[in-house]
Amino acid sequence: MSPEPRSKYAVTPARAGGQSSGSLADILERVLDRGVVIVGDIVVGVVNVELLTLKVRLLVASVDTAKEMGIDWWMNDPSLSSKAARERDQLQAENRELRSRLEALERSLGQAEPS
Amino acid sequence: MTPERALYVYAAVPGDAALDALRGVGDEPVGVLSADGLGLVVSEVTTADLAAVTDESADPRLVGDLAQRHDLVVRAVAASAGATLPFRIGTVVTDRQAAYRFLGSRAAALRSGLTHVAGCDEWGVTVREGGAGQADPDDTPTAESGTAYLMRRRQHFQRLEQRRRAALELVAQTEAALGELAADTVPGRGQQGLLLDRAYLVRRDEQSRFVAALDRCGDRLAADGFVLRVTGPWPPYSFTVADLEVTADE
Repeated sequence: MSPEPRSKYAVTPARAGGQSSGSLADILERVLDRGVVIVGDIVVGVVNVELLTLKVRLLVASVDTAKEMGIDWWMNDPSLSSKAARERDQLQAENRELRSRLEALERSLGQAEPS
Repeated sequence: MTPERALYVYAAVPGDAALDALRGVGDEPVGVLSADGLGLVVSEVTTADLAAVTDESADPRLVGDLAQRHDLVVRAVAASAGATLPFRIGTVVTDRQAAYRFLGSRAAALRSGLTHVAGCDEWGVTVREGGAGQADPDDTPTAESGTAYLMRRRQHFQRLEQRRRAALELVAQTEAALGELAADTVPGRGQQGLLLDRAYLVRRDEQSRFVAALDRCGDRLAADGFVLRVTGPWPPYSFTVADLEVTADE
């Protein structure tokens, strides 16, 4: 087999057919909501994908090395990530502070105007 | 009533596809059901075992195991069978008759889907902000005048705007360079905070050029503080035909 060209920006040692597949997060991203879907009477049950996605988020949230797993779609979601929630709180606090500073500025400008 | 034993479907392949010995979900042997020049890669499954994966009280790691096993089989199939159309994780049909009925009734769609992905792999490509260059203005000196403060905010937003334009241009260049070498491309799931998120279908004989283009684009992006991230080659998960409905009377 010829050697596989490999981008230096590749994060997974994925090779179709190889034993070492991509990181779990990358795999989940690809298998969860993609692929041929059969609908109809011959289907016993496609695993409930919504429920599956939920469970995956639980799984990922429970893994310390989540970030090393590569993908961070759950990290931007405040309901799933304490870091995102912290950042959101910080943003809100910053907004409040900026608003009050702006009001103070407007007040002082108003006072400085010659009457 | 749900039958206890059923068939888990991994992928559609050409009918003459030969597989190496392979163990699928539940460690069951994987085989190919062939008809009309098409094949379905399947293994037997106990439906209760599969249903348990999404049970509220079940260990979420079961999902991870299922996904990894699914991917492993699809990957192995793609390596030995050539053209491969992966199925959605957790697809289970009642029995062999149902599988043959599906193959027979949807032969045309499956064939055109297989032709589309034949000889190709999928690559996942994202670009995100590198983290630097976004810094907010430093802490406000308390004695700063209102005008100075507003000036500083304006400069900050001007810098952000310049950065946004630079990102747009670089991403457009990247999309153009990669798109030219790809057989097809589709958007990714649209994660927040990504400047680019696409899957590319690339012919294996274009793979070296595609990888070279990835590296060139990655270097150019990195020079401006953006981060290119590549996964692949994958089986063509993102390039499968849409839902294939089968009704009772077929």
